[in-house]
Amino acid sequence: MLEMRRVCVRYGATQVLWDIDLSVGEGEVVAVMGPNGSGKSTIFKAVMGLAPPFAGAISFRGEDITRLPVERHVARGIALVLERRRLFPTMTVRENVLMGAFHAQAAKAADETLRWLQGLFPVLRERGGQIAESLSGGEQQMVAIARGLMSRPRLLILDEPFLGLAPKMVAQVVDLIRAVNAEGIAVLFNEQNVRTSFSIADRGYVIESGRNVVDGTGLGMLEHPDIRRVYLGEQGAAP
Amino acid sequence: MSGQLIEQIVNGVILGAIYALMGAGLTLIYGTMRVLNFAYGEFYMLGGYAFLLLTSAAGMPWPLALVLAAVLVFAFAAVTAAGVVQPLLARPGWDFSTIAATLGISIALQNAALAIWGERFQSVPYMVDGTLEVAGLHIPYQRLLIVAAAAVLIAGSAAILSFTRFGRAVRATAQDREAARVLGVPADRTSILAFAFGSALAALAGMILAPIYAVSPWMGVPLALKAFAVVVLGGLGSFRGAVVAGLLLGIVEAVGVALTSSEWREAIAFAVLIAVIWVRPWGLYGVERSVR
Ligand SMILES: Nc1ncnc2c1ncn2[C@@H]1O[C@H](COP(=O)(O)OP(=O)(O)O)[C@@H](O)[C@H]1O
Ligand SMILES: [Mg+2]
Repeated sequence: MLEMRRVCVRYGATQVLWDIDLSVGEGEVVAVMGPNGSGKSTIFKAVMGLAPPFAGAISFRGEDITRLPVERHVARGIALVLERRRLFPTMTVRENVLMGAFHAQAAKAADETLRWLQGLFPVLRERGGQIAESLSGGEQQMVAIARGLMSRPRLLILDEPFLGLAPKMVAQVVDLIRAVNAEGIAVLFNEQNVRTSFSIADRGYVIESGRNVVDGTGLGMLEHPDIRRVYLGEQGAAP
Repeated sequence: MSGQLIEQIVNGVILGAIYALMGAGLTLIYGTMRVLNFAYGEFYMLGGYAFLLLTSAAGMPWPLALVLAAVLVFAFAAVTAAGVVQPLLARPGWDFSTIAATLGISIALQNAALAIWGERFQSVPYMVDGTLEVAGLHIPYQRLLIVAAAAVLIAGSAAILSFTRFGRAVRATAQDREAARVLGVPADRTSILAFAFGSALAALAGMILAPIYAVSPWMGVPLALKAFAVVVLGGLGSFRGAVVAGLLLGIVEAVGVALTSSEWREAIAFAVLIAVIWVRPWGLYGVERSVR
């Protein structure tokens, strides 16, 4: 349902993505892996219109969204949870989550969606009235994901959902992504840890210096020599 | 407390209400656009002239003129924001170009007012006559009207920010523009409307003060300076901060003048500003961290 074809992005004069190909099917969970600064966040920003490509094409459910303004993505069924949660710091948890239903269609169903999410995320009930900033990192991540889901997306994109979380919270977020996916929502995310990634992902892409290196299904792709070199930092295989 | 002190406090509240209103409008613009709007005083001035023309030349009753003039300034400010400020913001190196641009707009509007309406100070009749005599105090009803109007406008704006869709868009855009856009908030349009809304508040301040200060091409300059002080004092972008800082500044200024003399007015105001910023660089209600 999401197709990126030969996508190139630059910030100012610096090109950071080179001919990126990536796809996500209906209901699929896809991981993007790669070292810091390799362009994972930029791929997500390109999809969302925050970093529009200067070459290549992006389509979603058959429609071209390459140049679609950021604000219009959510109505098409794409939600992005930005790196570091990015909650509105002085709003309450409840206000933050309701901002996720800003789009007119989502606003109509907001009450019902909120009830559904309260089942999935106990933190929304327990801490609804608290200021977002006062929550722990893990709780903030839950709220950020809930806020993204308020728009009832078909594709949920999570940028570094496990970053800075304690192992127990990582496990909780993993469970949550599984639960979300069980509702038929496709998930695209990135995570440094390959094993964590493949504990949820159906497929994965490895990116290095803004280029596709390898993609495939399951931990088997970790045996690929390029991955061992690039990603796991192992020497030996010829560069 | 002596009667004179009470009288000065009352004057301070009146002054503070205007500062609060001016600061509230300016902080809304800063919050959503991250632009120091140096043309802010000229929207105050345009409010004064629009009100003057509608009441004296067109003979309109003042409450109607108030509303119509506010709508006119709102529209003019929206066009300014959409046509000049927003396009500059979209370009790299925007922070300096918007300062230059709003300064340019400020000078252009002052000169246009001078060319069209002349340099003469024009007075506007009181909206309400009479004086309230209570406990030895003499307070003209016009001054009470200023406080009441400022209070209603501030409370109304606060309600819009808290409870409407537009208000939620403004707050989200101010707190994290990128995150807001990702959620479908049209941040550019929201900023333009917030700019116009803030400018209309300045225009309304210009109108309710016109009977006391008279209307001239330069009437906005001192008030805009105070509005900047109030916004910094309250914490850049904080609506509540601007309201509290405005009231505080007005009262300190009025009482300070009573204890010294009126030449000290500006010195007292800016001494308060510097003292607070010394201790709390982020202002009364600002947040102790860099703005994302
Ligand atoms: N706003 C930006 N302006 C300029 N360069 C950027 C910007 N954001 C990211 N970059 C650069 O683009 C490259 C890819 O960054 P990013 O997509 O954030 O990588 P990742 O998410 O994989 O860590 C990095 O070299 C980074 O320094
Ligand atoms: Mg990143």
